[in-house]
Amino acid sequence: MWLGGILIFSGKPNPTWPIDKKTAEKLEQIWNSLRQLSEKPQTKSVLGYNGCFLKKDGNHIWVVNEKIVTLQTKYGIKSRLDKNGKFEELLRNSAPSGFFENLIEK
Amino acid sequence: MADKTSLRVTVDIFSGRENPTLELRGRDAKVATSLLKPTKRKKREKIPPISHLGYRGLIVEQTTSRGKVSKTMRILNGSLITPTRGIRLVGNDFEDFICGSTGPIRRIKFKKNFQKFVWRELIKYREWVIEWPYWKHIPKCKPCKCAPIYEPNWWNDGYGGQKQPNNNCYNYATNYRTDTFAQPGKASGSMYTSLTCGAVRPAAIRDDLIDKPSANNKCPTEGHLVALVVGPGWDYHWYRKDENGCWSHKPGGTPVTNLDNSGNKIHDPRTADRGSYTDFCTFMIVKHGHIKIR
Repeated sequence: MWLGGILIFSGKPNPTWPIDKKTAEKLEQIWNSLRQLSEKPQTKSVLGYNGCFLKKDGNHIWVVNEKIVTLQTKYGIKSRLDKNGKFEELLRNSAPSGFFENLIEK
Repeated sequence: MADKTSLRVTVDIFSGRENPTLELRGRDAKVATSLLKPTKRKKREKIPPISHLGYRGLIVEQTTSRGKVSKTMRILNGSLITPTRGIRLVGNDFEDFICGSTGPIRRIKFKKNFQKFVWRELIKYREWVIEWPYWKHIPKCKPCKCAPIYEPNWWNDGYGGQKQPNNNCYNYATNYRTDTFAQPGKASGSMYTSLTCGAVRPAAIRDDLIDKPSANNKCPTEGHLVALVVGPGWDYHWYRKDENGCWSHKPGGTPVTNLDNSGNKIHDPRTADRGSYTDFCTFMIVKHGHIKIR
């Protein structure tokens, strides 16, 4: 099972959405085409948007923020450069319509 | 025997182009050297950043009679800066002598009115330095002996870890790991119902946090201090005051940090850059072992 999500809240749980197989495969293809970073990127956390994430079966998690995609598995961490922002764009666009508008409490 | 020591002075002013250089010999070298004597023994602790567009000072290299460079230093706004001896005060006379309207800088055949250009930039720098905000007293954090130690690495096991993604600002502030993204009031069976100070504060009180709006950023005698802020209708957030007296926080599932949204250390959450968490609600006390969160 694939799950997309956004790292945006501090107290409330972050919202997630299911991702279909076709989109997940496309995201994996993009990931495989990205250039690996030789240095470990600095991770910073702020109040507000901290990127999007993609989860696969609870074993793999990709986090994309500021054009860096990081994959964490039980075997370790790999980071790649999402120069054109394709990974983040596809991941964000896979959210159901109205998803981001509904983040604010009515 | 005459002193054949000379000075090479580089005007550090350009970013792309090569900086112009000036050789001082004889009387000029002697006068300039005499103006490099520190006026105060006390060292300056800080100076404004040197990586700045415009005038960045004069780089002075003392050369021996054999042409070897024996010392290199930077003179900037009356400070003599060397990599080994730190920052000492020499006063503005050296820069005024070199860059003034009758100074040796006029010998640099670089461009028309170069002396005037450098002088203008130098004055601009001196004016900017007076306004440099970090001269102001930066408050120090007063340690709190009962508060938790700031140890971000314990929490920051990555987005694929067990602790970081499953513990939020409330877990971190209360120093209570549940791995459930704890919510104020949930353990007492009555969670907050809206994202306002008026709803989240009583929910935390039901979890046995002690409301202390008058704490005024002071360490309690027992337990540790936390602070609640809210982005109305959006989300809530918690900070905690650590043993070192400064504040740290954990924005949701992201790593623990001691910096605010502007990248500054947090001396007081009331004045920190909190992004859209605009409402400061209250300070509260967490008595260790007294609270229950879920």
